[in-house]
Amino acid sequence: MTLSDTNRAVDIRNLFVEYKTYAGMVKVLNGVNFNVDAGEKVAIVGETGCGKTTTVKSILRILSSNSRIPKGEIFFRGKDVLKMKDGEVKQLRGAGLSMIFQDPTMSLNPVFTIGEQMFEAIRNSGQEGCTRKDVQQELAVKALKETSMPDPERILLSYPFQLSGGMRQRVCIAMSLATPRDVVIADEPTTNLDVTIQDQVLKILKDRVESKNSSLILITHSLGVARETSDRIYVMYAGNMVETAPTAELFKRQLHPYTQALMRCIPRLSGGGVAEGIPGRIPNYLDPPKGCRFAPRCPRAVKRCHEEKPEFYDAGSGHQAACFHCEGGL
Amino acid sequence: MAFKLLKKIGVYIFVLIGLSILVFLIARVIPGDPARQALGPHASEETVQALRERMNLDKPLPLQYVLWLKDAVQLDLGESLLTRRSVVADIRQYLPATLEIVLLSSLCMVAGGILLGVLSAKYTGKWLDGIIRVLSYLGIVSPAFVWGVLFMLLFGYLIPILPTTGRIDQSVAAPAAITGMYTLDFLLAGNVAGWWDAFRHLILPGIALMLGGMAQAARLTRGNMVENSMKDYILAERAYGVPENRILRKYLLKPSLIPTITVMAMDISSIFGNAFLVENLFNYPGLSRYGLSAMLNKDINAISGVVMVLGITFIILNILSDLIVAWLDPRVRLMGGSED
Amino acid sequence: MKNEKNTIKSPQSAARTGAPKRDYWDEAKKLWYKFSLNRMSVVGLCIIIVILILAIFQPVIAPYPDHIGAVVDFENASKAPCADYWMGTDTVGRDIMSRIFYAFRSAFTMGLGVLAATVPIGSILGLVAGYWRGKWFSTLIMRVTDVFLALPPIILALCVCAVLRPTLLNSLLAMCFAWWPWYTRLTYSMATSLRNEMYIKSAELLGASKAHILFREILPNCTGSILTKATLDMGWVILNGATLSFVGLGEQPPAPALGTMVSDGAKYLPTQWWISIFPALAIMLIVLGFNLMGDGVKDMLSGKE
Repeated sequence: MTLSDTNRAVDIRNLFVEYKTYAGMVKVLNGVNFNVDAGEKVAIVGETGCGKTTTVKSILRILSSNSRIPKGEIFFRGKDVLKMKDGEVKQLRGAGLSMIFQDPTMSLNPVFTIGEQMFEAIRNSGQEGCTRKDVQQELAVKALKETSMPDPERILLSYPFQLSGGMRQRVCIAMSLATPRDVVIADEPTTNLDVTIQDQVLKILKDRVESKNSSLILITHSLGVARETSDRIYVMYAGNMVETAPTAELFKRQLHPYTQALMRCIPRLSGGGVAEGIPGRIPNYLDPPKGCRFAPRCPRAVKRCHEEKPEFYDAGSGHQAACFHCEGGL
Repeated sequence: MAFKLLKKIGVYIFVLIGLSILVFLIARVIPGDPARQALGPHASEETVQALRERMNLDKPLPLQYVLWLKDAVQLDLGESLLTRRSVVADIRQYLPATLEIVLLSSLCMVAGGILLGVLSAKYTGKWLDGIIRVLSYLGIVSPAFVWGVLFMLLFGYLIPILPTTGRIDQSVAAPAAITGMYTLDFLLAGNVAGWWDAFRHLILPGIALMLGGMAQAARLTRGNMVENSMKDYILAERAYGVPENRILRKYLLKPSLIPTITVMAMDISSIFGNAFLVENLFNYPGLSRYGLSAMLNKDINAISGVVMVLGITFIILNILSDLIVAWLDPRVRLMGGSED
Repeated sequence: MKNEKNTIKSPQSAARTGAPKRDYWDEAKKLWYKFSLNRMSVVGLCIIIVILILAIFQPVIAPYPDHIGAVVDFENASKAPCADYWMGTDTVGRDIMSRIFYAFRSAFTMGLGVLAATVPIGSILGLVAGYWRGKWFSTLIMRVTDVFLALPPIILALCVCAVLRPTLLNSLLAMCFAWWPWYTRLTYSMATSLRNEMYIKSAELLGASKAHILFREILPNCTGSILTKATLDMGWVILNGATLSFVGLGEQPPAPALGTMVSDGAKYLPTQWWISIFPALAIMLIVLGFNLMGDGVKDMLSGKE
């Protein structure tokens, strides 16, 4: 395989990840292919437990200790993350990638003020004058204002437990954007927030990423959130990327039977009534289906689907799907 | 917060009263007649009866308690049946020695425990971590008296570089009593040679006292730090490129230390407990040795006195640890409770 | 994951009512897997099993099983460890190893006896006080517990021992006296937080009896922590018991007790080091075994996958 294209911010090739548990090896990621261009906003959509978080955690190399990566490559700006030494990984995290976590109650240090934590992040960002107190204060206040936080000076003096969940998540966003970054990873940043502030937080995140010209990897289980926020969508099912397309294209035309079924699950205001759901259940990761992992639930499955694992097939205009029905284009 | 503190102090006062009842009851259930036991089998019936009256043993139990408490509050804990002196005078003589050694070994325990825990957490999985963990297991499972016996063997006989008995060498005159703690008194008197001698006498019993607690503190600190290092907020701080050492010493240490403090306060009180054995082994004339000989001789006034003094010490210790936790933890300081 | 707290079924009772038949063998296998993930806890278990076998079969295994009493054999007195006496003999010629094996018996009697009494008493008091928090008897129980917790258990036990006659039973009673409040405090804090869980509330609304709620809903969710603490405490109780006998307030000579053997031997240091060093190592080994095991029990019952 050739060296990765350096235009690509993140490029994951054929990644496998397993977890060791009581019942045996759980084969969570099953040859994931995934890439993000510089300045691109990409969403990964999939059900709970399909391996979305595992994928992004492996980019940052923060997988738990019972995990194993038997095969695969992860390139960040052309360098293989999995072959990096500890020092390089630190650099990668320091200036290249940042992550916004799902649970805002856990992602801020409980015993330090917001200010102390933001100043620390700015101090280590390598920006001009970032070791000076007044610059830190100025940048932190600016970042908080940009996330529409009221009274930023007071926020800086508060402890995390004095803020609401939405405010904490906005602080996290402000923090990750007070410093220049190539890629921002957001793992379901709105799942734990009230519906009324979800939109607001997403919009702030999107605006901030755009204005800094960073890339965004957004993990979500909601197609609606993905549609609002991203340029391109990856659909993930049971440890595989099954389909990717520019956002508008995907909502026009779905190629993979799983994506089609997923789309039918979105409740619509105009007719249709209650969504029908997808028959069957997520496969057992201990002993996953040999061929396409969706085959047991797939209405269009043929013999080959049960025996062979489909690759990504190109359907033109950046649309790819891992389904034998798409082989040789459409 | 102020209200919480007041409420807590109220609880401690209650505990103190409860403790006095408990101590009083334990002292009164001695099988046999304390007065007869004190005077021996050859004393005449009249003298025993007189002592019984003097000790209020002829009155009903609740009244006995009230009388005992009234005296205790006025710092009269009766006469020691063993030393034939006032228990308060005995305590006054022996307490500084115990405080001196317990303070010193508590300080070493806290500092050493945190240091080893941090080192162990920093090098998780490396050889230094392995060594520290094995040693702390060894420290935790060995009773203080085993360390005492080992030190006696090692330093008393095999490599006699440190003294194993008493507070000072016989050739050194005791300092003028100001605090009663020899090392401090020597310093105040400007006697460096005396200070050095007194300090050397503290080393072995002090180390024997603190090893268990230190190992416990190290293990707990390491455990909390390793657990917290997987938390999102530490991952986030790493993601912001905060230097690893700074994360360790500041952002990881502080939240990990807060739950350790209460346990360390308990470890310090168990140092007092261990002192009962170690002071005896090293022939160190402190309150614990006095207490132990009182127990072995059923000297009830002395037992009650020693236990009450220790109880008060532990309550002060608890209040101190509450204050330190409140100072470190904004959740306790500002809300009066911890979130998690 | 987050929503687990809001489920109506207690995590422990789900298994009881949900599945029609429990596969006990499979559950045991799963527990063992979790326990054995930490290799050191298996080592701990082995240590304890070996010590138990030595204690129970002392008359068969020990080379001089009758050296437990007032036996005198001056010809072989104060012998250093050799082929006949692996751990040497004491000043009256008794085999140290045989005596240690026998002393394991009183050590285990101490540990099991104290825990058998304090775990149920302490836990039930804690459950009751925690579930009815705010009632007068709950306050009373917890204040009394506070009083007992104000002193380290060893000091309390020493006090009680001091006023009683020194026998194994009395030192056991003294330890019980000092040990119960730790379980009360443990279950109290668990019960106060559990009583607000949805599955307890729903059981109350369904009209379940108080006994059912206390023992079938709350208690099963505390057993993990209680058992973990009890495993560790076996070691600590034995250690504290040895401390009592070290100062002469435990089992009386000539019956062998580990603490007594250490303190007697200490008089003959350094020349006859084996008299006190081997019993000291034996105490450390027991406590180490239970400590290592405790970690495994914690992993096994913590509910983490």
